[in-house]
Amino acid sequence: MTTLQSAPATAALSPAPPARRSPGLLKRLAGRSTGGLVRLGLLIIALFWMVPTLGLLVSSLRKPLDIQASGWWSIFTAPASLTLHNYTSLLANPAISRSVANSIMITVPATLLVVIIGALAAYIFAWVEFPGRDVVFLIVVGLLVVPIQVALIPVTDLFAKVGIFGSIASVVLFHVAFGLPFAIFLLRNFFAQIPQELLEAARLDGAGELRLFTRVVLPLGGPAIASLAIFQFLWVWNDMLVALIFANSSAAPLTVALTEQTRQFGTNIDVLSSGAFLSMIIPLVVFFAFQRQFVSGLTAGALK
Amino acid sequence: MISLRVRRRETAVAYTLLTPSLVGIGLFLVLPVFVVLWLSLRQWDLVSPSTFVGLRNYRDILSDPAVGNSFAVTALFTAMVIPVQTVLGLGVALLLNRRLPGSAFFRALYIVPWICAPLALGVVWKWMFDPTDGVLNAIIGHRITWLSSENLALPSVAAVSVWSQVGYVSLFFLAGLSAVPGHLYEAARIDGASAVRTFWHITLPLLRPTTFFILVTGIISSFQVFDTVYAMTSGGPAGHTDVIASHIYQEAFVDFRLGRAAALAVALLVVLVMVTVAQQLWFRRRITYELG
Repeated sequence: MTTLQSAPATAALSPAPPARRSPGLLKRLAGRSTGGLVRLGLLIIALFWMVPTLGLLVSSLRKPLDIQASGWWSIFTAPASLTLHNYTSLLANPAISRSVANSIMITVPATLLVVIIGALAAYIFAWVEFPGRDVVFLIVVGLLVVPIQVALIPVTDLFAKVGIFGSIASVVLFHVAFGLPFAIFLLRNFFAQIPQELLEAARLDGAGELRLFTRVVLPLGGPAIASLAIFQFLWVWNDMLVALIFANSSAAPLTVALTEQTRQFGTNIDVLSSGAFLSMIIPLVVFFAFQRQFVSGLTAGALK
Repeated sequence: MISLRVRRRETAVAYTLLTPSLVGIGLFLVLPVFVVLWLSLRQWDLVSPSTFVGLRNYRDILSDPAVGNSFAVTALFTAMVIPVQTVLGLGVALLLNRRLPGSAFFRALYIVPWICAPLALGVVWKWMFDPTDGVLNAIIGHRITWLSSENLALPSVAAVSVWSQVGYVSLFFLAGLSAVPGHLYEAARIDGASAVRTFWHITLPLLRPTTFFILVTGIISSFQVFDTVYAMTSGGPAGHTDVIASHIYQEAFVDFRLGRAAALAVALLVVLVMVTVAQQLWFRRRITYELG
């Protein structure tokens, strides 16, 4: 009985059914060797994927003089002293430490706003019937094709006229607007799968649209909302182009500050490696904290 | 039968709740398309008032070899990146889908580059490609000038782009694979179909919606590639990696020729719309399997 009950849940998660163990010894050996080959393939790709990041991490922990003298891989043959010196000197640089704060002040509101506004719109498109709904939704999704380059010049002009050009707010506003079509697209598809009976029941109980949204749709839409939040967080945190244009030097995020450093000091790798690694830590932590929701949100939202 | 008044009130509520989205999208996506069209017919340096010049910007960019080069470089970049990352991403997804112990670890590992800022990765790879101090030349034992060679610069940037996207693409394919009903594989196995046949006739057709999504969004973003190029080559050597996004940035925010930049942005938009519509048509004929 227990197996029957848990079957649908696991079926939804597990992909191809595992090949049944064949009894023959030869076949079993063959099966094991393909398993070995697969693992070998995965391992080789993994090495290729891991080495650059590892090299970066190791280099960021070495003294500038050591980096000049030998490649980072030499620590495996001649263990050298590792130090946090690069990081302390990097964060002592006021331009860098402020840019970390700016990155946070840009990314957090830009992510929250897209999630809230996008989820509200997605709910309306999925569950409220009104004239023009399908046309408006099609237009919104169609706007996914508009490249960022189209908007940069007109919005620069707009921000200048309103007087917010150069501010953190201008970067946030741009990211929110450009994140909305994808947000609405992803969430609407997910919300549309919520069983209609649930909503009907709540409506019969006299719940208004806003109440339906906060009490029924939001709690059920967890995975899709999590995956949207991750997408948006990564886009905004990792963006350079938008910030390069709209943010002045006191509002510049980490990506822009890093670029400035490289332009000014060339490739002095002690600053670069620690700075690059610093820019990666927060998104990595955020991603892996929500990884599970991200994947199940993708399954349900983007691909249907 | 719902009364007209209820319906009218529902419509009002719907549009009220949609207002923040529609205002944002209208102001930053829809309006700019029209403003850029208008600007592309004018000459403007961001400071003095703009003047109407008719179609001159379009004539200029059409006859400018640097613009032609930029579009060619961007198309070439896309042609290098998209097929490789799609096939590799599918391959990795199929391997991960075998659910061997450690799959979760590998999946996490492959996604790392996608999570990191393209700018930071570009900086890292620039350092690894370095002709004298770089790890790549240290391994092969030759002094190859990867990023300053006219033939190698674009493929090098494209390789980094593929490297950073494969994990992301495979995540989507994994999600797609998990939606393929298991009984189809079971049926194929009972019929004695080989693994290759099962892949071609079951897996691949059922992955079409995923493939469509990956290709459409991948091509749109690869036509806008900027950060990786900016960090690794800044468009050089001699324009060999001068992708269209860099070119527009240069025209608009370095040279302050905004009319020309607007005309280029319009051209990019037109290209992207055409490519996307073409894919839509191509896939619409082929997406015949609906998952219940």
